[in-house]
Amino acid sequence: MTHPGVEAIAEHLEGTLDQAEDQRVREHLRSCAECTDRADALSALPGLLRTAGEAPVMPEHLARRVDDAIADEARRRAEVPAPVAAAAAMAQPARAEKPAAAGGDATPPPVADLDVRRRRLRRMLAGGLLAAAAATVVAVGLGDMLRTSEQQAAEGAGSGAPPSAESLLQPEGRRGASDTAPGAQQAPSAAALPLVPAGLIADVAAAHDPQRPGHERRDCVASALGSDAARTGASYAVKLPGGAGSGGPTPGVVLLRPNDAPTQAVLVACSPRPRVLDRRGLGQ
Amino acid sequence: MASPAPPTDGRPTDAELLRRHVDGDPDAFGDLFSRHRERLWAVALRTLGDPDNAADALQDAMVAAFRRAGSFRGDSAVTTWLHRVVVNACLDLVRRQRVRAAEPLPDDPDRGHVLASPPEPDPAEQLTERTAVLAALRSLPIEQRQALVLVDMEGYSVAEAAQMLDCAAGTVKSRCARGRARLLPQLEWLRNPDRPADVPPLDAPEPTRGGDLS
Repeated sequence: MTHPGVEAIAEHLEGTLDQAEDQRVREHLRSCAECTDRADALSALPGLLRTAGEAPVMPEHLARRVDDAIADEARRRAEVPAPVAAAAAMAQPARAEKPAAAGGDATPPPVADLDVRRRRLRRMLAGGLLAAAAATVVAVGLGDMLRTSEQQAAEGAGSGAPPSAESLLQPEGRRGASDTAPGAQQAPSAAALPLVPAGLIADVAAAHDPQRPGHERRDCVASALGSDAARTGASYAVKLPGGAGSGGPTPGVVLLRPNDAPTQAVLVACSPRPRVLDRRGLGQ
Repeated sequence: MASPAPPTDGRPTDAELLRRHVDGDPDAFGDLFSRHRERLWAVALRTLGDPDNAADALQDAMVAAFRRAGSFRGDSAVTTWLHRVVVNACLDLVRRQRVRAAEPLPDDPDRGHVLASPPEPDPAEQLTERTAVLAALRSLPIEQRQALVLVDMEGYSVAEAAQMLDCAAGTVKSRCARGRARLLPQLEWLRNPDRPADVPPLDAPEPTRGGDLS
């Protein structure tokens, strides 16, 4: 009697043989102790593999390699300019001081080493703090012309109480006493803020004429928005790109940097975390 | 922070983390990776056998997943998709090494026969059952190895493994069966320590079967 090959027995056990061959193997096994023993051994293999396969925890130095590669990707994607990186680094302490405004975010990160990674990132970005302190930070308010609050309330419903643009700007210590804005005392919800139109920064760049005496970028922001109501220190809402299902606009700010900085305007969303939406050079 | 759709345990779901990542959240993808790191690591390590290679593949995979996250359509679980990216990265790495070394393909019958010889139990080396199993696994063609790592070692269902390997469930089963058949002669000495290790325990002729199922 010809024994079926070990592969045929394995396939029989897995149920992948065609009907005729499966029948042949089954009948053979009924009368052959040797092949039955082989079938038992095959059946024991998954258990053997399971036990042998228990992998040790990923070594820390290798895990760090992958973590760093991911962090590099995130950095490359954001192309984080210094003032925004600094703002991001400062946003969390600022929120910790204002737990009510932060919406009670007391949940620790799920994995401890994540915290370490963020600390490392923050340390690395700490140099950006100086640049941020030197930068002129202007947040632009829009006044009344963009959207009705009803429209925004409809879009912004359910966005909770994200950290306000104010908490992002506060640590700068650059806002003068005259830089008051509606809603500056409390964390404004996105629904209460005017919505920034797409293309704002491009419009500002187009409008800015550095040759004109006294022509400032701030004026251009105002004119690009079709309003002269631009005020420093105000927040507005930012419609997040690609945010289908994420709710409506979230609070944001525009940061303008001095003329000598390569990137002079940064559009930042403040929720769920500060992040760059757009950055452009303004007024060549 | 305020989460648009907080799950019951207060932690964002995998899908939510991935969506945040696509929306620009710089930390979401790192969080997602941390959550599944050990499982993905196990698959890469057991597929490739070498920790440095496994870390390389895992890194390639996570960078690819980071960039391609926008194309994830949600027709499988996020973890399944992550595994699939890792599985592909492992395959790529093996192919690159194969080209570089100009080695014969591992599923070359001649080479397969050589590798199928059971490892000699060296008393000085104290070859353990575990190392024997892992060494035998490494001798398998990559496709069979991947199927066995996912199904037998890591315990994924055939259906899940099929999604991860991007093939039919029947193909996964067939690869598992053939892989086990190839492992058996290398590991049978574990069950019969008295049998001389350098004598192939199986003398049955190769079956005559038509059709390559994998």
